[in-house]
Amino acid sequence: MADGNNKGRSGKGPGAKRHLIQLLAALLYNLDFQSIATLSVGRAPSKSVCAPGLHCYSCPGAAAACPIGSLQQAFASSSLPMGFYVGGTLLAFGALAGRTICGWACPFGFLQDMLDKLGRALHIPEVRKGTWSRRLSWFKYVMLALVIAGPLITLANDGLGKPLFCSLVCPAGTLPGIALVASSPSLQGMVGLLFSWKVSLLLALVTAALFLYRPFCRFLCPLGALYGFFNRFCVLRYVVDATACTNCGACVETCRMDVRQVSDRECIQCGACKDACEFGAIRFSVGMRKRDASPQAPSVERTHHDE
Amino acid sequence: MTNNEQNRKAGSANPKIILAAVAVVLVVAFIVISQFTGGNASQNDDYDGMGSRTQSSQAASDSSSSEAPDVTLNLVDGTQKQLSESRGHVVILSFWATWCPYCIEEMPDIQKITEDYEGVEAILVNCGEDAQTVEDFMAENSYDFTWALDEDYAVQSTYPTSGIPYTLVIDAEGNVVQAFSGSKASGMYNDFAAAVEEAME
Repeated sequence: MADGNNKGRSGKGPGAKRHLIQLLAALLYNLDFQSIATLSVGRAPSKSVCAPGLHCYSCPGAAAACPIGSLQQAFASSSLPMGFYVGGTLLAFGALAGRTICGWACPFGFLQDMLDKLGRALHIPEVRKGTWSRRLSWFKYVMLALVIAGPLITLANDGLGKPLFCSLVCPAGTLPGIALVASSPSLQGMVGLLFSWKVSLLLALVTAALFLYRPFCRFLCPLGALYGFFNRFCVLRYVVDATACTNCGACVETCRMDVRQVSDRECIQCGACKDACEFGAIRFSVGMRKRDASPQAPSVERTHHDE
Repeated sequence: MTNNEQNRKAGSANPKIILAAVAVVLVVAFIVISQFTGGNASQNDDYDGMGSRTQSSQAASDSSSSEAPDVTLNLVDGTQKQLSESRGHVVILSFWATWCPYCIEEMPDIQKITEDYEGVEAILVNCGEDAQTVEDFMAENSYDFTWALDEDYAVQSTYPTSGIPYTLVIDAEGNVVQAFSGSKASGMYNDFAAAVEEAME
């Protein structure tokens, strides 16, 4: 990692190493081989623990629970112990890693990264970020509101809290859902418009991910919205050395997320900015630090690719 | 639009066009897929398709038999009962839990079936919860069901219930006529009624 030498490029960002760690982390979410083989939903004791990235409890491979699904269930059951447990888990993940989880340890983020690579390999025209995507990135906070309000409102209405984000939006559950439905004539007879909607949504996101970078992460993911709050002060994150920074804006311009600054709420801590910085001002920091003197964001007009 | 041309030259695309294309994919996919779902798909006529998926399932793994595995039911009042004791009349065996909103939503439909069809017994097997939780639920909801506990999932693992609600309609000879995985938002009454009528033939 960087030694703080500011006389030139301090070395490349993580590059392919990040993808290797993403691949290994993806295994974390697919460890229940027996349930995968039998296409059933497992009930191992480990499933009472949350794994940090977005995945689905109902995936046969899941050996742990999704924090967003668990959060909704805590609201739906109005269980204070569960609420504290899930809330505490999310706080711990966030305080440790913020959106480093998004960039390094989320299986659905990994899927989108690979789709991005595929899109570029197939020379599919890329849609670059702009004011439009910066605005659209707010929508994931609407999804976060749905995560909280969905179970609470359905609970108040008819006494049954329902995880609306899981049922209406989340594509991570749709993937194994397709496998489960395809293998079960009984389920095939049951599914209707909601299933059609979820599969269509998944297809649309997969298509979009070939053209634009991480569309779900940027515009829809409530977990990324949550973890983003921790990005400024979590233990594992990229930091900018204000004394070396010249405000050239190369970092923000290179970044494929809708950031205004390195390590703000949109940053997934992928390290591409470190590659771009000619002055070696960016490094990965492990540790508690005082709020660092982040440089002023380069002027927005310079770095946006408006249509 | 020269800006658009410049973007094309640089190898990037107009966001509006791509977003529109993605929206078209969404709509087309939805229309196509919904042709295959919503009851247009094949109904599960035979029980054998599901049985092989749990490791402890025995009778159900025999693909030619649709017999409902006989289990010992631990009733809420403390007594025990064999499922086979219910032979002679139609049984609706349903797996549920208090945290499962969709299970609770189909209970009124089950209740109505027991009222509309004579001699149908509804056995509701709770999954993994303790007696007090189930009794509290029973106190708040008045259904004419036979309530059974299954705290260690012993009964559930004999049946391929990887998800709940899981409801089976069993005829008087103890054979499964139909198994329903999950429930529909539009209600299950018609599906249950059709299965019960078939069981009564």
